[in-house]
Amino acid sequence: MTLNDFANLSVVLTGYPLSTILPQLDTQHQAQEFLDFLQTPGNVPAGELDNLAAAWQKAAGSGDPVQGVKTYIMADATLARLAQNIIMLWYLGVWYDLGAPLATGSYPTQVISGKAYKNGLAWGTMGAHPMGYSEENFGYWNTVPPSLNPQPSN
Amino acid sequence: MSTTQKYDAIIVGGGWAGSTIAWKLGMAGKKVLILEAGIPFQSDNREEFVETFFMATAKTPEAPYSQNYNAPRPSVLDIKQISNPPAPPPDCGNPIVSIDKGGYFIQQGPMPFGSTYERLAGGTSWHWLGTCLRLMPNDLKLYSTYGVGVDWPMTYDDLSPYYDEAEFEIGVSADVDEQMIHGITFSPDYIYPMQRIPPSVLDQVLTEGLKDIVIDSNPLTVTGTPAGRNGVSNIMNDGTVYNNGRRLCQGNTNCTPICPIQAKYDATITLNKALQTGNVDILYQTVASNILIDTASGEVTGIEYKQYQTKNGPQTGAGTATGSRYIIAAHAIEAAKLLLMSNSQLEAGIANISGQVGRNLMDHPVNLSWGSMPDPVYPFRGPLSTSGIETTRDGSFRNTRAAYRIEIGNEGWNWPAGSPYTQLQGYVGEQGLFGQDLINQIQHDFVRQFRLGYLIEQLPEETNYIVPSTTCKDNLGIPRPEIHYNLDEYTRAGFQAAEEASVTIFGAVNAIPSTANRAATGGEFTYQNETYYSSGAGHVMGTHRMGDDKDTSVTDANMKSWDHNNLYIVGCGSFPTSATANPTLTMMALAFKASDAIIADLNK
Amino acid sequence: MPQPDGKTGSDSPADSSKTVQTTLRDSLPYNVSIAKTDSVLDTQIRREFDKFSWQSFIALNWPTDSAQTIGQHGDNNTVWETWKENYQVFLPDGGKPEPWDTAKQGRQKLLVQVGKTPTVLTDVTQPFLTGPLIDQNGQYTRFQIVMNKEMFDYIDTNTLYNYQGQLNFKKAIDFPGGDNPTKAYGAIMVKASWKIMGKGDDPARFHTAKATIHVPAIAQRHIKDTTFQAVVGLVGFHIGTKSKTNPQWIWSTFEQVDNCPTFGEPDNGHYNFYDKSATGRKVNNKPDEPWDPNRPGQTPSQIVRYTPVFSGTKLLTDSIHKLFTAVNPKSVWQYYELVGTQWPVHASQLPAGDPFPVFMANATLESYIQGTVKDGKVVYTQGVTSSCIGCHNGATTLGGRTSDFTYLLRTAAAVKPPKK
Repeated sequence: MTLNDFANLSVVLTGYPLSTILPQLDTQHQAQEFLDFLQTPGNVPAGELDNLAAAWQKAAGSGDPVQGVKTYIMADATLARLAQNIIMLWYLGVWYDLGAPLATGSYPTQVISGKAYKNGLAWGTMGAHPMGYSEENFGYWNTVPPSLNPQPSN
Repeated sequence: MSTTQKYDAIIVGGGWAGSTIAWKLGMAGKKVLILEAGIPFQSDNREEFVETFFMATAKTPEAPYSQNYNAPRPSVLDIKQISNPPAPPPDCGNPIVSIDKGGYFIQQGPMPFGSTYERLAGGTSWHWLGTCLRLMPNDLKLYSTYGVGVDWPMTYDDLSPYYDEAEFEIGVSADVDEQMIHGITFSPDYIYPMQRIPPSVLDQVLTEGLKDIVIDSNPLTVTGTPAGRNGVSNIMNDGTVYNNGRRLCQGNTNCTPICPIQAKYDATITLNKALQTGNVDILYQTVASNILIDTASGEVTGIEYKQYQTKNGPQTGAGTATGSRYIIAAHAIEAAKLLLMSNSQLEAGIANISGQVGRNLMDHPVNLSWGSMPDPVYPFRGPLSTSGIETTRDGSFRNTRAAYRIEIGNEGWNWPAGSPYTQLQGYVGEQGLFGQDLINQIQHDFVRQFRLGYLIEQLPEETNYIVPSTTCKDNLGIPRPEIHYNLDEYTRAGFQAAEEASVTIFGAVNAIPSTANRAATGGEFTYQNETYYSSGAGHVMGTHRMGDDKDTSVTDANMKSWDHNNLYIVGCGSFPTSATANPTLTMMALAFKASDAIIADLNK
Repeated sequence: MPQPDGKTGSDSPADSSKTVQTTLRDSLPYNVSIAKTDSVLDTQIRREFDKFSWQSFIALNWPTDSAQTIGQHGDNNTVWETWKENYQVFLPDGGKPEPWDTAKQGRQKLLVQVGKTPTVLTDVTQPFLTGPLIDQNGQYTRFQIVMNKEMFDYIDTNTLYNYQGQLNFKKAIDFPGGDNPTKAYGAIMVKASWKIMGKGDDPARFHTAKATIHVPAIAQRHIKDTTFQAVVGLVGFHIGTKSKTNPQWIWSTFEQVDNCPTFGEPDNGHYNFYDKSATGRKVNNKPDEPWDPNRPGQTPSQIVRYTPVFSGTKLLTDSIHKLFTAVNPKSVWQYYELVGTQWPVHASQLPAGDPFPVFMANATLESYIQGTVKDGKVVYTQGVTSSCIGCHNGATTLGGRTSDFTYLLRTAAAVKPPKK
């Protein structure tokens, strides 16, 4: 799977724009770190990532990528499971055992890195920040956050 | 740093109480040696700990502080319901395996003891929340006022100047005006070093929503929680602007288990001051293993210790520390354990003629209530807690049921229900949400999450106790703590009252309660046919309590042992009753009180 | 003033990534210049910021006698040493500072602590009390902070030099930002670290100055009041520039070339803060307490730079050094290197603006928070390991409001109420 394919698929899976997933001026290289992780032997069963890449090609070419993901990826149990893990990579920086379903009772098997944790999208989505990493200033919590939407990069 | 030198004082424990006493004694020109069981205070501590925390899959209070098999600490992950009879601890013959599998504690029940602590330079202060509440006058006379528990051998007024001293050293942010609850008074013209930490959005919603609610004659008044974290400086009475040189809180929402920027006080600050006096030496990775006495005079003559180089490696050294005075400041369970295991000369252990060492173990069992507000309150912003309800901590009901304080949590359902991981796993895995649908769900649900924690009083009971295990040891061959623990009717009735209060509170603000995804069930119990769940607050008290009667207490009001004239035992273990305030501030006040007594004693 | 070469290579934006700085100028740049063709972050854009850093360094260290060229006589007095020091702006009684007067400044270097009765020697302790830095002769490194007129004027005009003034100031603190089109300078603050010239030091490799070293008494710690004269050499140099296009400021940091080895690279030779034979010393760890500058026989710090200087930055530095030595082969300025420049890549991503490089440290000024080593590799901890913008982002006034990336405002005292 190429970096661009992974990034574009991640845009659809996360709902965040490309400027967040793979910015032109990139200080984090987060997409590359996740792709490297997926491509490291042993993390994803052989061939599954290629299958996902192929399914993404179909979804992307279908004219409606969101519906395409539903049709070509989420409708297939194995591909859906892998896609779910990719969402959790982006949202919380954690990985789960692909061999078990993802559910409220699940438990992460590992955190990818401190950087991936810090870049977790879940927190900003609710107007917050990862526990243990805040760029905000004193007293910010006294008022409601200015916005919740995915913040567009310039 | 030679141990053949005789010091004025040997202190076991380089944590909060130990650092405080070392600093005071060092400033008074006394020569001190600290024996610290854990790893040193060094420049890369915070980077290493925060990195360990980031990489931890379970973000518990101890997550940043990797297990040290030579000075092991408990973990909340090991708290389980205990069968009757309790299952034997696994693999005791292999300490590392055994501690990893079953936890450090040997829990004998009936209920598991729910709280943990750390063992390293700076102690448990690394992971404390930051709450700095004073006790209320009635907290120190529970027995005379309500006929339950015991009285402290001192009054609130005795403690008050020491509270001042502790609040200044820590650097507490609070407003005096709203802290005079249930009889709490302050010195004339008292100013906290810094102003109250600004309230969160949730605090403000609850303040408004609960303003007309009264429970058991107490209005539910939301007040700022005094906190040992940096806020806006006040001008002190001498005209100077308070400035401890550290940054202001940036709301990392991570106080427990670690503040990444040290806006929150931790005891390495006072430890550093102690070392700066030039009169304090410290040996790290040095575990006290036996207290020696002169059987004729009863005086302590030395403390034996074992040393190691790595957290899972063998013992690499040993020695004996000698001084004029000995101070045990090893945290409530470890202090009691050390006293009891030092039984080669006195069968009942050191300082234990009363038989109370290790007994009267108390926690603040916590009842967690969580749910969803009708309108967003935006959790995961700000310190973990900025306000609470303190008016519920006293009242005539204390003659029949435990009091509680209500801690308002800013971290959504993180503590009770593993948020955001648990719920997100459900949205993505079970509901199949992705993209904008997922964002919408997060922005609907998570922003409404809130939780309350009721810290419930626990009475001193002889049947709640710790003893050194006779079968299971740590990697240095030192006994692990064996704990016998339960919640009595008084506390269980407190849980019932807390749940009733939740119904009232949630109703008043139109919040929808939840019990979904409960993360911890180890503290499950039944009371009057209802099931409750107790979590530990991280408060460990009572195991070497003060008193004015040597037959029923371990130390006098200056924390001096009744049995050994040159031995002091300091820490939350000194508390005769638990009350409902987080114990840290009172513990430090007592450490200052003990310091005065020790210095006076040395100067005699 | 004389220029070694006629070319003004840095003025052709079309191929700015390829041109090499060919002139030494005493003119301080207002702001960074980014060409439209600069699109690669690591190389092209970084180079513009590195050039800005060097241009600033050169102008700030230019001789006060502008007829001279920097390094013309080996060493020289500098422009930045005529700027006001922090303790001259934030007075112990919160009073109004004296007016800006560069003629008065620079006559005497007084390395002294800030504040009346500190419990910490603030001029020898790195930020947030992390510890002093001790050289091979057991001497403490001293720190000094100055600001330019633009920064001073903003503080002076808005009465930000005392507690009451800061609490009364209801607007957002917003120092002027350097701007090229309007040729306006922004606020600039400089933090310098100095070591006392002693055994093993070759003063010809340092910019030096005569200083009065004052160690105030701290009775509780048996620290005696001491004053002595010494020749000090510059070992570290931070420049913080407020910029209109980079409102999170541009952070430039320089070191004397002998400070310390780089992690993973050869460590032979003489260093200011490293001794290869001292294998027992823990690297990048605070000195043993107590920290008393007068206490003889203290163990020197063992410092290693954990992050190598970027290759492009090194190449630029090499080219600048050639300009220095062309003026005078004995120019002391050839012994200073640019460690790096940090800036906000996406300034509108508030509040921190997505800084790059993500982590940055000066081995003499942030010695102890450069990262940790695990399994032979350097690990950087988000939010804890040194980052100029990451840390300064949290700076506040005494009233708890954001202070626009400077911690200086927090050093202000309160005006005492009038006696009744």
